[in-house]
Amino acid sequence: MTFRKSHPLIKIVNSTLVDLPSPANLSVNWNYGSLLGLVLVIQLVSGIVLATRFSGHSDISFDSVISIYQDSNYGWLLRLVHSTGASFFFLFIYLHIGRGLYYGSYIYPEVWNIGVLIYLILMGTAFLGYVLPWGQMSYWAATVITNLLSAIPWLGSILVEWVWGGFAVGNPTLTRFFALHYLLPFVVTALVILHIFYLHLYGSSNPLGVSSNTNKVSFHYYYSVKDLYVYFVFFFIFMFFTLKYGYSFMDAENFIPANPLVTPTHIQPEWYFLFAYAILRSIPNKLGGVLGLVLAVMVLFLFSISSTQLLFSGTIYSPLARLTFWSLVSVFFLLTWLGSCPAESPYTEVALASTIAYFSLMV
Amino acid sequence: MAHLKATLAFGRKLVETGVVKGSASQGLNKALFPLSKYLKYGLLTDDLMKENEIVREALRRLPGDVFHERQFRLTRAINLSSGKSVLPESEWTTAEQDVSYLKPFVEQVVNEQKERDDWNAGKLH
Repeated sequence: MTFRKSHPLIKIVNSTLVDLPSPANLSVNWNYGSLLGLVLVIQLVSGIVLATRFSGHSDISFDSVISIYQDSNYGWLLRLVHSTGASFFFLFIYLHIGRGLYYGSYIYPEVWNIGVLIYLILMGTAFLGYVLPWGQMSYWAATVITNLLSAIPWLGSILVEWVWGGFAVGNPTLTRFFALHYLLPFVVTALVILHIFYLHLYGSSNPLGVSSNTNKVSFHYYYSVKDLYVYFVFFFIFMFFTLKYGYSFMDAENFIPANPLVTPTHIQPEWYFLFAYAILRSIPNKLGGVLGLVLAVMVLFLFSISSTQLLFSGTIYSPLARLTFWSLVSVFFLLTWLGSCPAESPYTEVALASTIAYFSLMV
Repeated sequence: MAHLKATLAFGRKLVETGVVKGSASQGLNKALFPLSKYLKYGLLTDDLMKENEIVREALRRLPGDVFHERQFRLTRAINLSSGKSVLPESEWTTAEQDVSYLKPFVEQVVNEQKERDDWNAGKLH
């Protein structure tokens, strides 16, 4: 037997990346998984190197970011790569989830549920990371989001103060957020390994949604070369965005040091959270808004539960299902835009209607 | 609300009296059948059934020629899909050709499973 099939460690790599039987008709929509893996590695490497220069104390964290820009070798590049990488991470995860919804990938419940868990932890990681520079938007985003916990009956206010480490967002909050932001990506990595493990138990789905057992090809060279090609295309687009539009995703308020006495006029998160932010603000009741925010993501778990009853999954079977899917995409874009609008009429009414449409289409 | 209830009751009556067969979404899907993408690959509706334990058992019970015709359709469809092409329009699946060859076997397996479960639960003794 060849070395790659007999060595106890190499054979794991072989069965994942070389001799893995894959459907012959995978389209570019199946590249997002490997792209996500690449962006995860980029974020881990850039983040760990940044962490060697960053200081997680509220008095000096903002200045340490300036120091990274001005005093560290290529610190400016690392910081821009890390912040742009977060946006690309979410872009690819939304495309990856969209692919799953369109082609019915939720029929593999373990793969799907672990994927949704990865998404949830990623949202947490991104939120924690955004607080670290300790700019105005960092501070007030932390205040808004941690205050959501106070909506929980009975335990709410105790929970909030426990998370804060004090009576308001402050240095203890920043310190623990830094620790968690460093830890969670490794949890994500472990979950990604599990995600791929379960995927390889069943085998990849394909654009037609039919069994591909009659027509498989080996992962190498077909999809290893295809993935490598898409990596080069991604690298070009990524570096173009990082170097030319690196600040376009950043909020101007975050270039001002955090000031607990001055509230920004428009507190808003990064683009990838705007849809959830719109849902949170559209419901007039505080607890209702928090539940809406949580359910907006947790509703994804429903797909794997309901899929056990389905004989047909995905949208290739039904034009009506395709219409529903694209309506959901439109509502998602609408909610994202509404999240960036001020919380006043007519945006609040449209946001409420869009929230109802979002949950109706999902269910 | 009263208007909505009246409309739903009228719809149910149409179904009960047989004027309209099936639900609105079934009717809509039937009307939109020619727009289904899988027809362009020469696939039948039953080819799209996801393979769980029940469907795999039903596939095992298919007559040999029916099974091989299914395998041919699937292979041809995947080959077309990997080349980003479809069949010529004259070879697309029509409503008359879309015969339900697998569903009867699936129903047979489901009924047998139900009977087995009822027997084990003591309902049939």
